[in-house]
Amino acid sequence: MTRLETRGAVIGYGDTTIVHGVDVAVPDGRITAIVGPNGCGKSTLLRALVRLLSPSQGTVLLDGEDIHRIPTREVARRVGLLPQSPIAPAGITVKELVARGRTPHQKVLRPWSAADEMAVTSALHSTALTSIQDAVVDELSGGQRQRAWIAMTLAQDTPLMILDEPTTYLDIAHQYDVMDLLHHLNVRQGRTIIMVVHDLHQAARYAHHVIAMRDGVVAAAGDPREVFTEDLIREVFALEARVIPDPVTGTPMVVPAHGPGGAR
Amino acid sequence: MRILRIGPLGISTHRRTFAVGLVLLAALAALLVFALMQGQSDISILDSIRAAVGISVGPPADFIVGQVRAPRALTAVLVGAMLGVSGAILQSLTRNPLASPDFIGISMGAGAGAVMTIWLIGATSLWVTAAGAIVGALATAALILALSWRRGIVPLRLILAGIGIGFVAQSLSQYALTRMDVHDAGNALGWLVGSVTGRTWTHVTVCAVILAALLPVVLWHARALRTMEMGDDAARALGVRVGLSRSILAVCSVLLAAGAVAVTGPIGFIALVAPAIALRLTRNAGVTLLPSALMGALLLLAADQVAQAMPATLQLPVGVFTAAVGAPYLMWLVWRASRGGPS
Repeated sequence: MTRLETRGAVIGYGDTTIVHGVDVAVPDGRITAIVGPNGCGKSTLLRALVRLLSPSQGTVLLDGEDIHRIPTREVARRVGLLPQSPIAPAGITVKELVARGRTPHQKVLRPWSAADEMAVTSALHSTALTSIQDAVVDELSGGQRQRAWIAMTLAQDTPLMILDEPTTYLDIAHQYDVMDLLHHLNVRQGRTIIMVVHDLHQAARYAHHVIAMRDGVVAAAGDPREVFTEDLIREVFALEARVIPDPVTGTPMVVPAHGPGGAR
Repeated sequence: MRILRIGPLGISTHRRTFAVGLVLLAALAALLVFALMQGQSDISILDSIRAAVGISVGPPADFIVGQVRAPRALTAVLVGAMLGVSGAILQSLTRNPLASPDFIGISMGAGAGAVMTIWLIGATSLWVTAAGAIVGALATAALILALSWRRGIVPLRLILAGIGIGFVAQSLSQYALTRMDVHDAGNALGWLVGSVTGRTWTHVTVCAVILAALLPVVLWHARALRTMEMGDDAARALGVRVGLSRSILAVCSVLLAAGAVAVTGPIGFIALVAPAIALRLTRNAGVTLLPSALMGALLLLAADQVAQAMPATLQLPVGVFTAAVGAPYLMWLVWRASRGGPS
């Protein structure tokens, strides 16, 4: 089952083509991780999935319909996005920020409904931000700030959530904090989550489905246990690596095959 | 979020924003009445108000209040509001507190447009001058955009390009002044100073028409404006049609500034300062349009009262007094920015 897929999507900026005709299908109700080396087109693909970019050829289908034929606001009610570096307006409080996630549900003359209030309260609760909802976002720690942004995306109340490198710039404890949060949102609320991540270990632990990209094409897609092989890591990342089971979860763990100093 | 609700409609605002708005409105009303009463002839408060709204109370109030003080004060109020909103939009769109139409050359462009119109067509009517100012402002804005566009608006380039083009526009005005006949040049020069002296009901009407046409459009896009402050991607993902909303808002901002310049000549600093004060008073995160409008109206009306209260030997145009407030604020902003503080 998929609600979001691409068919032969060629995506780029201006004359530069970055993604060369990919077919991906995002499994419904699962966590999908897009991985790949820098510049492989994973963020570009992500942007096309949420309609920030339009493919020059091929299509992106949301619920079977060309996403570019669906009104902007309607897309925003089905797919939420946490961009890589969103800007928090100076002085905004956590609750105000989260409330902005309700934008696609609001009308000009009917600004705030009980449903809006409920979605915000529940988003604050799910992200454990209720106690600091009146704090100013600029003054939060990096981890709390990221949770506030995730809460904003949650309040948008979309069945599909797309996150562009949600753990970048966070320390290791906060990274796992965010990953656990996404896991809970997936399990408890049944949200479909699509994320770009750099850390293969995290991708293997948390994602049900992995899309590995290289040079603008999909090199492999599927269950992380099948995708993360030594051959694939060599092919995609040009890295000689061993893949061993994670001692805690049993998921594949990618370890470089050379020690410090390098084998090359 | 505390929301004010009136019947089935609602105004999405914080209680504090609403309270600040009410206080500003009350202060504005009080200052307006004061402005109607203040001057050489003593006219009672009731007669002033009656004369201002067109109820005849006999001479001299009918003329002094009805034809001189009321249009002058209302022009100040409406132009102040236009500048306040124009500046608020620009500062929000560029995410830069330094952006204001008089700083990035829009006002100079409007001025040049108006002067050229007076030169080529003559100062036939205020509507013609206003049209010239609007054409000048739009042309300037388009040029600034073309020069600063690099796959999107780059705020710093925009401001630098604006300052440069502002100077070009100013020299165009100067050139036109040297070329036109002496009578027209006198007219244009008097207008270029930036003043609300001697404004008539026609001026009030021009302002009212521009505001009535543009303010609803701006307010309709207020939520989009606030959402775009979070970055284009976030705004798009929240269902805002970023390109469309931004273009509409930018054009409205330019038109409001152009209209203001057409009516009073360039008056500096109101568009820069009013939104900033409104933001601090309401402690809002992000742009506040109506408080900015009220603040602009209040500032310009107050500045004009100070200008009028000066002894006759010191009669200066109102722009001098707005600069007296605005210049220190600008220096403070630059000082703070240079210390790397939040802006």
